[in-house]
Amino acid sequence: MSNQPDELRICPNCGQANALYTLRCIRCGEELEGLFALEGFESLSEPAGKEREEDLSPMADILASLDESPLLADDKKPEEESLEKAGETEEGQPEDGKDDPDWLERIRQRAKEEEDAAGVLAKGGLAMDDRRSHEGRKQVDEAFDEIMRRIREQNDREKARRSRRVESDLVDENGDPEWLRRIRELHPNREDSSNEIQTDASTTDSLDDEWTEEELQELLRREIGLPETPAEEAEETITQEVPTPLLPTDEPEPSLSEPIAENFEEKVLQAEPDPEDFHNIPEDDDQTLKNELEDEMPSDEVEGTLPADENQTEAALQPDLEELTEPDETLVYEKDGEPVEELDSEVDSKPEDKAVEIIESETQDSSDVEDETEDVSKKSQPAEEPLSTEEVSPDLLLLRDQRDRASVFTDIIGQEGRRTIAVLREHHHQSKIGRLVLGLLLIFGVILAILLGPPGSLDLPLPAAGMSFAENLDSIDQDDAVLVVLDYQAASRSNIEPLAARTLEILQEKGALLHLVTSNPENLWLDPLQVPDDFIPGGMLGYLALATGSSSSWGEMPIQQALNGDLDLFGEFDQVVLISDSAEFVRMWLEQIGPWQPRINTSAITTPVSGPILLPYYDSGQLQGFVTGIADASVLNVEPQNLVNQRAYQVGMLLMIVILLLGMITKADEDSQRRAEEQNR
Amino acid sequence: MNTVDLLLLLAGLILSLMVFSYLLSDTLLFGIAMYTLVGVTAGFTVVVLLQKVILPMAISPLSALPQTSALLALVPLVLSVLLIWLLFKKSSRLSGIPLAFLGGVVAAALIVGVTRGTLVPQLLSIVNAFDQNKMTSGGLPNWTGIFEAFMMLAGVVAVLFVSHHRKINKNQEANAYSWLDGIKGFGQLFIGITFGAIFVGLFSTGLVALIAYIQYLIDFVRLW
Repeated sequence: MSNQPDELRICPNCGQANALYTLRCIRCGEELEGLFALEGFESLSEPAGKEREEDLSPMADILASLDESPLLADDKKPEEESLEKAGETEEGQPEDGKDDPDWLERIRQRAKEEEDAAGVLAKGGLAMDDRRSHEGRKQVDEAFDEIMRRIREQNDREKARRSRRVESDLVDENGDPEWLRRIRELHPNREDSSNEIQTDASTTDSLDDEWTEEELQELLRREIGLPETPAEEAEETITQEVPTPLLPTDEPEPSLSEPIAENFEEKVLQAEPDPEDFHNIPEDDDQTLKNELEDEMPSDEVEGTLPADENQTEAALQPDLEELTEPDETLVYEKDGEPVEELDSEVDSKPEDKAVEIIESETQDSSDVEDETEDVSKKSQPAEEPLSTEEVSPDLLLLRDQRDRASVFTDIIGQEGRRTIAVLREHHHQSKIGRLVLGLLLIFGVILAILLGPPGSLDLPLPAAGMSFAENLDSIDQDDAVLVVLDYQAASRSNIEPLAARTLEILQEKGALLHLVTSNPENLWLDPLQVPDDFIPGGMLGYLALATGSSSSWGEMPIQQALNGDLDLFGEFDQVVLISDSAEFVRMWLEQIGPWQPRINTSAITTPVSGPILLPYYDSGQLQGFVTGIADASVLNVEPQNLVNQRAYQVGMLLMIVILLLGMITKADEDSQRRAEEQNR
Repeated sequence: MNTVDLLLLLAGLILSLMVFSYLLSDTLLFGIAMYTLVGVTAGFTVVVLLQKVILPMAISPLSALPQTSALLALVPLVLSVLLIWLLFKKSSRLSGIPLAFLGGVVAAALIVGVTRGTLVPQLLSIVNAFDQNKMTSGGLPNWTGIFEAFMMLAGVVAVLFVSHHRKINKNQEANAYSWLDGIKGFGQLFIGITFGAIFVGLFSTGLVALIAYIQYLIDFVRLW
């Protein structure tokens, strides 16, 4: 087809050389009728008829080349079939044209002979148009098929790689995860440096197995290097800014009515179901990384490698390509600062007489595109070999915040297995055997002390509080009313009852008036000799209600019904003796009752546990005195037979002192050993 | 010794052995002894309260209706019913009335009692320790009284400083105030002595109880 570009037609009028298919002379405007001369017609001028026959010879060559072209072989058959059908139809029609002129009969005869009613010339023109349109569509389809095939292949590779990553995410023998090893491989010298990772184009080019979005777009640009054949329509469709279906814009949405656009959209939709980005960079950093890559990679590197027409097509397809990867934005691609619309206008403004040249160049370009496609496909073949550091580095293009996160993760991993929060209380499983041995040792010691030898007697110094208790007791005269308050448990009766019994005995010897009350029901059955006279309900609140001494005009208070008769519990007594095993009860009495009845002298018989707690109240004068257990029995001259075995008491105390000393020594030794171990660590 | 006393002694022996079985572990025998004690105590308490409180103070006054004392006796009865209602409907607001009344009275009594019965008398005791009459004896200094007064003051200040300095250490670095740590240690010395005395008293009380019951068992065995 490109063999006849130099053949010209000479104007018969002025001799001007015109293009082969020019209808009129470009100099004189003479109509070049020979072009449409039909065989069998007599031309108006004989020279013109000769030139016409000469001019038809190159046209025959062109048509012959078209017939020989394999691209038009398939397309020609339907036309032939349609022409045959047309011929059959004509043959079937009745011959009613007998009266027609002779030239019309010759035209009909010619049409039958040429098997194409349109004529050889028109047939050739239509064939060229069909070829261009089919070829363009075919190339576009092939390009998109190739792109989709590579996207699928890349998806498959990514899935395979992801599965390998999952397998390799397990920590190695050093306990380091896979991603941390990759970080170290990227930064073998200094992990804590600032972001030094450069993302230049050369680096990205060497990383073939990792396809970024830019690479995909670049590949698509290279492969869509189509001429703008019939194609102007398709090109117009492609270059339209298609708004994203997710975020429609205010502009009217153009319809993709052309087949190429439909095919493109279908394939884009087929590619969209896989929304995952094939990298391990967080999504929020993709845009930043992309911008950095675009900034670092000059536009000339991308666009300068492509032919001009490819750039045009690439510019036309760029919005759609951007949509393929970034559906949230509607981008307008610019080439050298010129918007797409201007490029399109340039394409549209091309004269029709250059279409042949474009077709020629497009054929050559298509072969070039195929070569490039093969090269790129070779480059893009997935490497089945194990991934090297450089191959996986695109996944690890770390930004500053990503490095910070990585450092935080490293710290967290380093903290694994270590205690970060101090345990407030560690539970040490104390051996029950030690407790059993200690109890049995104490029991056997007490038993042996009881069984062996006399009970013995205690010769302890007299405490000041006990002495005061005895002096206060001696101060009680005959007929003095003494209130005795009982509040102790059965478990402490061995400590309290000997002293309480001796105190009551002394008071009875003095002729004091005793009145026993309690608010604890257990005290009602403990000692038959200390049966309470009254039960005061409500505990300390009951005593408080009676101590306040308030009376009402409408009758007695309900609490006063607890007392037998018309007894004024606090109004008639000058002395109160508290018999209690609880220092809390004594303290509450001093706090609640003492301020209301300051004239009453209070003393207490209690257990050794309560002694240290009650001492301040004795020093302040709130307590007249107190005795604590059998240790103060000598103050009241309690008979030894009424006390527990004193030798057993001494043995028990001695054993406990030894055990305490051993415990202190053992504890000090353990502490020293623990400190030594901590220092060694 | 009659048969009843003998049976009571035998029961006491068995219960004592069951309680001693706690040395081995928290056995079933120990639990039976404890539940027996709690059950008997609760039963006895119910009987006492019915006899001494509920009947004479809540029920009997109703017979005197419509006297004022009887009407006022309805107040604790209603409050008691509301408390019983709390067993069936815990979220009842009416049941909160007696609880609020009881809580308010107890809180007020405690605050007033602590102030009047502990804080003021103890502070006055410390001040009185520096009384000239106590610090002198026959025109000469009473060194014992002086020592006691200053030790009492130092002990109070040091013990109070322990709790205060503990809060400071939470916000400040250690060893920032070495002299404060010295005062803190002095206060801890007082607290340690107090806790040691309490522990000795506690052990002494328990040891006396142990000896008494072992003596009881030995006396029971010696009967045979």
